[in-house]
Amino acid sequence: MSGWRHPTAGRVNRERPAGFHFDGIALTGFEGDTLASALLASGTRVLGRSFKYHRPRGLWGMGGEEPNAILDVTRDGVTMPNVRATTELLEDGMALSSVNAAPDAAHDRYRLLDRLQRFLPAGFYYKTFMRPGWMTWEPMIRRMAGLGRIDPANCPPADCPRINAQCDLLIIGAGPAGLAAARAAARKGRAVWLVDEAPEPGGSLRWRGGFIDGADWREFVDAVQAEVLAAGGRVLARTTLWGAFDHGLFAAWERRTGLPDVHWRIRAGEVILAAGAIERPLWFANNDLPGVMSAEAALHHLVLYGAVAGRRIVLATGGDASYPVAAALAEAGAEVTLTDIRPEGPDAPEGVRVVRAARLTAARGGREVRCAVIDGEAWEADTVLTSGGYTPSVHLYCQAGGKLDWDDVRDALVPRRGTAPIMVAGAASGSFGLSAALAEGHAAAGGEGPAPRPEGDAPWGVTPMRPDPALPGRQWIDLQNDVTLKDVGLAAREGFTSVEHLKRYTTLGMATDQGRTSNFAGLAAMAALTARSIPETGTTTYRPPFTPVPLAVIAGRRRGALFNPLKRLPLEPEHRAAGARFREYGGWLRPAVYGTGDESTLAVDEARTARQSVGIFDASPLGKIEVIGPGAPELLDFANYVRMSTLRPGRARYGFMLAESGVVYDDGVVLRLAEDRFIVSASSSHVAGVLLRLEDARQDRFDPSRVVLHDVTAHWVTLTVTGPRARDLLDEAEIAVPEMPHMGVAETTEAGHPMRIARVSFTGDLSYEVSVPARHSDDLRNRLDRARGAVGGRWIGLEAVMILRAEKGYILVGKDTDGLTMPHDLGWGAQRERRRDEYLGKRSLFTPEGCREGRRQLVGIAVSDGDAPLAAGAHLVPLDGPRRSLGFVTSSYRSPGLDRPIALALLEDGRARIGDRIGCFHMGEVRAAVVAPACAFDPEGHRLDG
Amino acid sequence: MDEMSWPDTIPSPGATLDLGGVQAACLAPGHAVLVSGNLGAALAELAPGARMVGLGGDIGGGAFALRIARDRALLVAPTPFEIADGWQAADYGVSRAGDAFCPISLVGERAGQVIAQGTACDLKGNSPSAALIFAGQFALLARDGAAFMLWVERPMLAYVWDWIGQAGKD
Repeated sequence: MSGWRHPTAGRVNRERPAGFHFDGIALTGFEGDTLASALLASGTRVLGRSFKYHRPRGLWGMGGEEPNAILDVTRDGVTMPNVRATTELLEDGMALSSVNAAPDAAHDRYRLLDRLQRFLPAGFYYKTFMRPGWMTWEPMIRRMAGLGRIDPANCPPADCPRINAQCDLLIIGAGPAGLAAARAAARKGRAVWLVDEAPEPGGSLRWRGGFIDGADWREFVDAVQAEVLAAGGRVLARTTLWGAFDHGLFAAWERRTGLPDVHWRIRAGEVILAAGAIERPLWFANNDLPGVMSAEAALHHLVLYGAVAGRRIVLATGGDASYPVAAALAEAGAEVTLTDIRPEGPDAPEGVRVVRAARLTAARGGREVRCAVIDGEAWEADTVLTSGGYTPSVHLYCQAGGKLDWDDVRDALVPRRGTAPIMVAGAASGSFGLSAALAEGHAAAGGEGPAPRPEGDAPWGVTPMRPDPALPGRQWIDLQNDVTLKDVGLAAREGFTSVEHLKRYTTLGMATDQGRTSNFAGLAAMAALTARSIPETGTTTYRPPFTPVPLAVIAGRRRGALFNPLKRLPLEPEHRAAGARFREYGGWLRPAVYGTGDESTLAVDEARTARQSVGIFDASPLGKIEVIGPGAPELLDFANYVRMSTLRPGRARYGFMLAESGVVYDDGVVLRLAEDRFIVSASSSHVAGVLLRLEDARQDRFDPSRVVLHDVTAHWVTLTVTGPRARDLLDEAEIAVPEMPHMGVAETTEAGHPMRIARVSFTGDLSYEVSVPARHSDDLRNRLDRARGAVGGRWIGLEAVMILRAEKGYILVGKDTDGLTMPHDLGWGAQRERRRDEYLGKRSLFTPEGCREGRRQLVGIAVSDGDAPLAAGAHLVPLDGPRRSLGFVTSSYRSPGLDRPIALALLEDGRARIGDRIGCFHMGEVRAAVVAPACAFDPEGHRLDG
Repeated sequence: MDEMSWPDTIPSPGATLDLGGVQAACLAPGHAVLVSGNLGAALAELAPGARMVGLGGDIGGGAFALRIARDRALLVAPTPFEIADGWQAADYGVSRAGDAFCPISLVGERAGQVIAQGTACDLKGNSPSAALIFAGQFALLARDGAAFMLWVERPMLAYVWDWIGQAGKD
C-alpha cells in the first residue's frame, strides 16, 4: 500500500467521487481518473498475476504499453474482459477483477508455480506434455493460464457504426509534433484529421507542461484545435489508430461515452505519424515486482491524476529526462533518490538525492518492492522507477511497409525515410526533444514561417543500457508473457537465434501489449548472445492491431440479419401467405416446402403431385444474362463447352461453362431470341460468376463494341409450371402459349406487358418457364394460382424440385460435381472429341489429369440394402478387399415416382461399373448398393412432352 | 431447419423511414433500360437531352443516365421507352431493366453520414461511374438536389433497407 493521492495535484474532479471495487474491496476514485490512476492512488499494488509463473504484478505504465494492469471490468452486471487499466476511464459503480488469479490477485492459489520456475523455462510445454497427449493437459493449463474470463451475459449489441472518411492529411498522434503539423497544415487550408488515443490532445505536454511561443501549452493546444476545425478538419480524441492497411487505408477505434464506439476507415491524401515514443524499462533482478514502474508513467499519473507512485522512491536512469520526474515527485512530498548510471548529469533537483555512476542491480520484496539494491547496497524503498531510454512508436510505419534503421545516437531503431507512404515526426522518428519534435511536425506538414518554439528545451540524452546476463537473479524481458533473460539465452542455445524464432519459442512480444516494452530488450539480448549487432539481429514483423480492438467494434452492424444478406424474391410475401417455409439456396431466400409438418414428407408429397398432375415453383433466381450484338455467337461459343452459335432463334440448348482448369463451373440453358440476342440462364448461385467470366472473355478476346452483356435477372420473375398437366394449367390461366417443341422459347405479350415462355425442364416432365417483369408478377402468380384450383396441382418448394431433378439424373453444379469434375465425367464427352475451335477450359481437358483413367464419373446408386435413402456424402467402397474410397454420394432422396431411394454419386470409372455391387460406408456401417445409370426415372424422356 | 431470422418486410414504393436527422424513402422504380455500347447514340435516340450522371452527380429533372461502366449505363425516364430489346443499328444494345433496380432517397443533415457508413467511395472524387459497393452490395449513387439517390438491385432491397434503418440510428 504505497501509492497515494496528492491533496491538490492532478486534474481529476474531486467534487465527483467514484466508488468502485477491486477484487471485492471497496475503493474510491474521482471523475477523470483512469482505472490505473484510481488504483494507484488507492495504494493497491498487486493488480494481477503473471501469465505463467503467477507472480504478483502491479502497474507499470500509462497507456497501451501497459503489460500488467489488465482487468475484467463489470458494469451493470456485464463484464468486459481484459481491459487495460491505463486507458479506461473510471465510472462510479464499476467492479474490477484481477485476471489470471484464483480467487484474486492477493491470494492466488497458483502462486506456488513460481517455486517451480526452474522446471518451467521457455518452451517447456513443447517438451513436457508429450504423454499421455496434449489434449489431456490442455484444459488444465488453460484453466491456470490466460487472461480474463468471457462473460456469457456479455452480448454487445450490433450498434457500432463503421464510417468511411477521407481527409487531406491524417495526423496520428496529437502530441507536440502532431500539433505542430496540424497547425501548419490547417494554416494552408488543408482538411486535417488529428487522431489521438488520449482523452484530449497534447501528448506529453499534458504532464510535462511547458510554454510554446511564449504561451502556456494549453493555449497552444486550444489554438491548434481551433485552426484545425476552422479549416474543415476534425480532432478525434480517445481514438486509437490501430491498423495501416494496403492502398492507404487506416482503421481507427473511437471510444465514446454514452454512445456506441465507432470504427473509422480513413483514407488520407497524406499521413504524418507522430505517435511519440515509449519509455524503456531497465533490467535487474526482480524487475517485475509490484512497485517497479516507468518513471515517465509516474510523472503522468502524478500530474494528470494526483496519484503518487510511492513515498520512498528510487529512480534509476541513464537519461536527463528523468530529472524533472524526480523533481516533481519530490515536490509532491515523496522521498526521492535518483541513481544515474552516468558519472555526469544535470544538477540535482531540489529535494532529490542524486547518486551518480550507480547501477541498480535488483529489487527485493515479497509481494511488492521493499528495497532497491544499488551497487550491492540495499536501499529501503517502496517504489522503483526506471528509465532506460526511449523506443519510437513505429508500429504503424512498419505496418505500412516501412523499414527501420539503427541510430546509435538515439540508441533506437528509427524509420528509414521513404520506405512507407507515411511521414514521421517527433519522438516517433527519434527526435525526443520538444524543440525538435515541434520543428519536425511543422516541416512534415510543409509549414511556412517559423515552427512553434518552446521556452527552454528539455534535455533527453541517454546512455545505452542493456539486459546483463552476468547479473544474478531473474530479469524479466516480457512482463505480460513472463519471458526472462534466461529464456532468451535458452532460445539462443537451442538454435532459435532468429528474432522470429525467438518470438515463437519464448512467446516474447506476443502478448496483448504487442511487445512495446519487451521487443527491444529481447532483440538486444539476442544480439549480445549471438555477437551480432541489433540491425543484424533484425526485428519481428509489425501487424495490426496496434492495440486490442473489441470484436464488436470490428464486426460493427454486420451481425444477425445483416451478416449474411440474402436476395429476396418479389413474390416472397405471397409465398409466405401460401405457407412457404424459407431456406437459403445459393444466396437466395426461397421456399423450401409449403405447409406444416415434417419437411421431408412435405417435399415428397409435393414432388409426387408434380409428377401426377402439376406443380408450380418460383424460378426467378435463374440467371438472365442477355448477350447482345453481332459478336454474341462467337463469345458464347468461346465461353461454353457446348457450341451455341448453331442454335436457331426461338430455341434453347443446355450446356456447361468451364473454368480455365476445365472443371465444370456452371451449367444451364442458353436461349436464342434473335440472331444477335441470347439469354444465358445461369444457375441461381452462379449468375455473378458467369457474368464475370463472360465479361472477362468479352473484354479480353473479342471486340467489345460488337457484343454487350446485361444481367437483367432482377428485372424478371419466373414461375415454372411442371408436370403432365402443365399445359392444361396454363390454358386454364388463359396464358396464350405458342406452339413450341421441347427447348423452344418465345417472347409474347400478355395484357400489354412482355412475357417470355420457355419449354425448358429441370424435372423431366413437360415444363414451361413463364417470365414477366417483376411489377407484373402478382398478376401472373394469381392467374396460375386460380387455375391451379381448377386443374389441381400445388405450389412446390425447392426440396421437391431437388427430388424431381435427381430422379432424372440432372446435376446441381457444386453438389453433384466437385472441384475436379470435367464435362466428360458427366457423360458429356462428345464435344470434347469433336470441337476443334478454342473454348474456355479446352486445353485443360486434354492434360494428363483430364485424360487419365479412373476419373470419378457421375452415376446413379440403387439401394439394395434396406429402404432408407443413403446418406449424402457417404463414401463408396469395395464390398470385398481393402476398404478405400472410390467416390461419394452427392445427392440422395426417396423417389415418389419410383417409390424407392435414389442417389447420384461420383465414382471412379463409374460408367464402367454400372450394374456392379458396391458398398456405401457411413458412420461405421456399410450398406450394399448397385451402381446404376444417373437417370433413374423415365430414361427415354417420354414425359418431356406431357 | 427453417431460416426465418430475416425480417419479413420487403419495402414497397412509398415506404419511409424517419431516423431523426435522416429520412429514407423507397421510390417507385419508374422506367429504365440498360444500354451498352455506343452510349452517345443510345442517349440521342432514346432520351435526347438526358444527362450522363456519375458518382454523386445530380440527376436533375426528366430523363438521365446513370453510368455503370465505360460503355454501360442505366437509362431512366419518366415514360416508357419505345424500343425493342436487343441490338440496335446505331451499335448499342438495350435490355429492359425497370424492375431490376429500386431507388431509395436519403435526405437530412445526417444522410451523408449514413452514406459514409455504406461506402468507402469519395463522393467528391468525380468518378464518371455512379456504380459502387454500398453496404457490401452493388448500387448506383447520385443526387437529386439535396437528396442522395441510391439504386439498389431489387433482390437486395430488403437488406439495404434494413441496413439503412440500423445505420441511421446512431
